[in-house]
Amino acid sequence: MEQFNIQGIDLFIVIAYLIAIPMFGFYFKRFVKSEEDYFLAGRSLPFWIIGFSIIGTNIGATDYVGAAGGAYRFGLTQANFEWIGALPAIALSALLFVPYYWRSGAYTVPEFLGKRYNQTTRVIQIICWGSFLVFLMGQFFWASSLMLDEYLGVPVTLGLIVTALIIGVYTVSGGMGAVAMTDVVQLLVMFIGGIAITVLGLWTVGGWEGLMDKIVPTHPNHLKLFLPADHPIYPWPAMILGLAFVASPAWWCCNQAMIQRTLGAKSEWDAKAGMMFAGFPKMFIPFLTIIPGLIALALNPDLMGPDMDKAYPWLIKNLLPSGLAGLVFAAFMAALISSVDSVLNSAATLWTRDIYQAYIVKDAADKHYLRVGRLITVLFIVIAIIIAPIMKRFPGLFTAGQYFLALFQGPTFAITLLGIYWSRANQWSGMAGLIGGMFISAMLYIRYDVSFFYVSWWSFAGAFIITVVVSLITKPEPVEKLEGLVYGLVMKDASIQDTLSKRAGKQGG
Amino acid sequence: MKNNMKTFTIVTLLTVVISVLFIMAVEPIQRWLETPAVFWATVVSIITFLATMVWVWTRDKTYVLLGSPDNKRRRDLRLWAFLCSVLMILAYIIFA
Repeated sequence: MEQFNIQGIDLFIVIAYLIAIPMFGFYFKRFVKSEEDYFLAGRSLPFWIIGFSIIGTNIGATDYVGAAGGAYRFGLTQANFEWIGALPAIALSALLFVPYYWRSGAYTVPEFLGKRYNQTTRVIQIICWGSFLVFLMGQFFWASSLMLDEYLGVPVTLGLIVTALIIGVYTVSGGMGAVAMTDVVQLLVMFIGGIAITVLGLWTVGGWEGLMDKIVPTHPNHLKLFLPADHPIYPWPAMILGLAFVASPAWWCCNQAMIQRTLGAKSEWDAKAGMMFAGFPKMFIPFLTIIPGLIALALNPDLMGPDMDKAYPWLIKNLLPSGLAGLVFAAFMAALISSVDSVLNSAATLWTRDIYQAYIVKDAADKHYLRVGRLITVLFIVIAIIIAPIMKRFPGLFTAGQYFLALFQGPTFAITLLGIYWSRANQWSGMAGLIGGMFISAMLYIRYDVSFFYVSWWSFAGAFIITVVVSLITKPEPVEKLEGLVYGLVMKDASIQDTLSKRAGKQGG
Repeated sequence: MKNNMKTFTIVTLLTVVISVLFIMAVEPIQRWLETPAVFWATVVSIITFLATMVWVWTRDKTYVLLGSPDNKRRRDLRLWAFLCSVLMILAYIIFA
């Protein structure tokens, strides 16, 4: 990362921000009286908080740095991750998946799949998503401590402890309510910081036309959304088939960290609207991350190799006046903290609900699960502190994490989609589709050297075929098991909606 | 129990057979995927957003508004999705 130290007014802004956020989040501890309050904010969230929180979770500081670096290297094609790689999936999630999760009264996506299919499917899902989220936390903790080291001169180990304290104070005490509310504030800080750097950068290069004049002659493909089909990193068919059709819907429809806020909605409409509302800020993310990468290219085309990932820090150092640099750094930290807190809360929910409550202690009092939820959250903070330095020693772990995600997200999306849309899918087919799809992913990695977007696509297609074929040769599920879980067995009547609302509020795993 | 074991065996065999056949079929399609022109990327992406617009309007209004405090037009989530899709289509035309 670009070396420089924040001082004076900038330092004051950053420190004030890092103190204010945990204090604000800690305030919400008073509203946590039960397990439902802790994991689902008492099912009280309105749509706008859900929407902002989802985007706050979705955009991390590594996205700022990585996306700007990607734009510097490959150009506007990086924006596909925010546009076609998000918006159709958000609509699908809002109007198809979210209502069924909400109606089922489940706390987690694996819990829903357990109800729709069987407990084996649930356990495989919890192991996959649970492990991935813990891995992600380690990565975020590492990035956070690295930033504190580079910008504030805080030693890495101390940085890890500071990060843990900032996030732990309100995540452990206030649960999802605190996480969602702080996410809203952090998203605002992210937008203010991001807009500041984009506007100032565009002004410096002579506006949009100035940017084009500087980039297009030397990098003709940098202002195009798609790259040729034989491009080694981002071939367009992979972006469409793998990213837009599978990886993105799997992320937006099946990832606990994205879905959990909607399960905390005060009504089914708020759950759906929260997810759909997230689409609006999502559309503008490229203006905060991709355009700065292009501005850096226009102003300094000499960054080479790994230094290209320093495009965003280079802009902060060379473009921003005193005061704004602190604000943008605060935006960086906001992006990081808002992702870590949500992932932490979701990972704790998964392990508490789907492992501890489902298989270890089944019928304890509500207070017991609340206490266990908090303990598991603390445990994950400790695990993240331990595994974070390992990320540095083994840089390949980041890529390994991406491949691990591609291993199961295609099959997960296939069985969830069929589970909601097709009543004929049954417990045998769900399990076979999930395991078969993961087997296909693993074989593709071993046999062919293809991008993980293609792996996601093919494993989805394979899992889809297996689920359909196995469904047709095995017995269908009884209708009673499927009510409220499958499209076509929708309960539309207002009185039934009230019942569902109560069920969503009271039902456990 | 015996029936379950029989189903388990059949399902396992079927899953393995389909998976292996599927992996063998992937390679030629994968090679072909390296050939289409970039023009088709824009076409497919615009069709994707158009399909999203059409799909949201196939959702029943009662279903979309279920749980809503009132039935005002601004609460119709199909309109939200429509607006997002229109903006995206414009972006994909401009940066084609």
